[in-house]
Amino acid sequence: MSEEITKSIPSLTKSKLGLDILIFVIFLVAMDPHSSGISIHEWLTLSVMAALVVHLLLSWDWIAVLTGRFFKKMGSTPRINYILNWLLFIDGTLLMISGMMISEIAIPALGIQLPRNFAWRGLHDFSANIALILLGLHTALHWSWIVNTFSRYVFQPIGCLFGVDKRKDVSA
Amino acid sequence: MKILGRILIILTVFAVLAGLMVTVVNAAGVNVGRFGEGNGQGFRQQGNEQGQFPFPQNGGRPERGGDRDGPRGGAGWVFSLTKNLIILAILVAVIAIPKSLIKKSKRKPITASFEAQ
Repeated sequence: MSEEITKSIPSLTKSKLGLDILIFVIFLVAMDPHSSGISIHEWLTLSVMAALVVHLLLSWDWIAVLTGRFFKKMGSTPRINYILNWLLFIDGTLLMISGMMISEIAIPALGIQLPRNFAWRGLHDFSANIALILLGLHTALHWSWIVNTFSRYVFQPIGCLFGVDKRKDVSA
Repeated sequence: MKILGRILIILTVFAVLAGLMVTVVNAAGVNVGRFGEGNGQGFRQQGNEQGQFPFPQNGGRPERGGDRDGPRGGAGWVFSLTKNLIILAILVAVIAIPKSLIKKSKRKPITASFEAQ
């Protein structure tokens, strides 16, 4: 049983890394609808919702533990991280909802007609700018994990391909 | 089953937040431009009279620069991508570098004491 768990941790970390890279790339593409075109922008961001749900599912244990401990004694970094993640979720929701409300292609194509107004347009721009800042903070707070995981699963295998065998334990 | 329950929790929180946002926006009375509804005496008509707002005739949402339906030419996307990446890099640098320095400075005294022994 414990062997199974030990084996599943690297694959879980790899899945997390792959998914996070995918979400990051989609976010960057979505941040500039002028370049991708509005239809790609809308369909891509609607489909990324599934990836975000998986991202949350993969971090569920952390979320559950911190939710239970939030009002008890806890370090400042996890608390800030938890609050920031909630802000990111709320802002992401606003971004998605405002995007749906001003959708020109994806939502009408699904046969849904929503009332149009200026407020959602402004909120969409505002929440997108806030999301960029929150994503930067989210990335910064997980920077050591990103560096360690990249080193373990990307740089070291590439180094091994070129004969550089520099193994380093980064599982912490 | 456990995963389904978790997905349901995430979607429920999303739906509650979304419902709150829609309610707040509608209640705040910022729903000024309900285009394509009523007798057309709304904001769109005024805009057309003044000639300042490029509202489409079908009552749709105004376009920004008129190029939202197609890809923008030139190196505009490179500029936008670089700008976003620079913002992210600055935020990461501002937080991750001091954090790493603090971590190192906390480790140093322990290492120094070992070296002294």
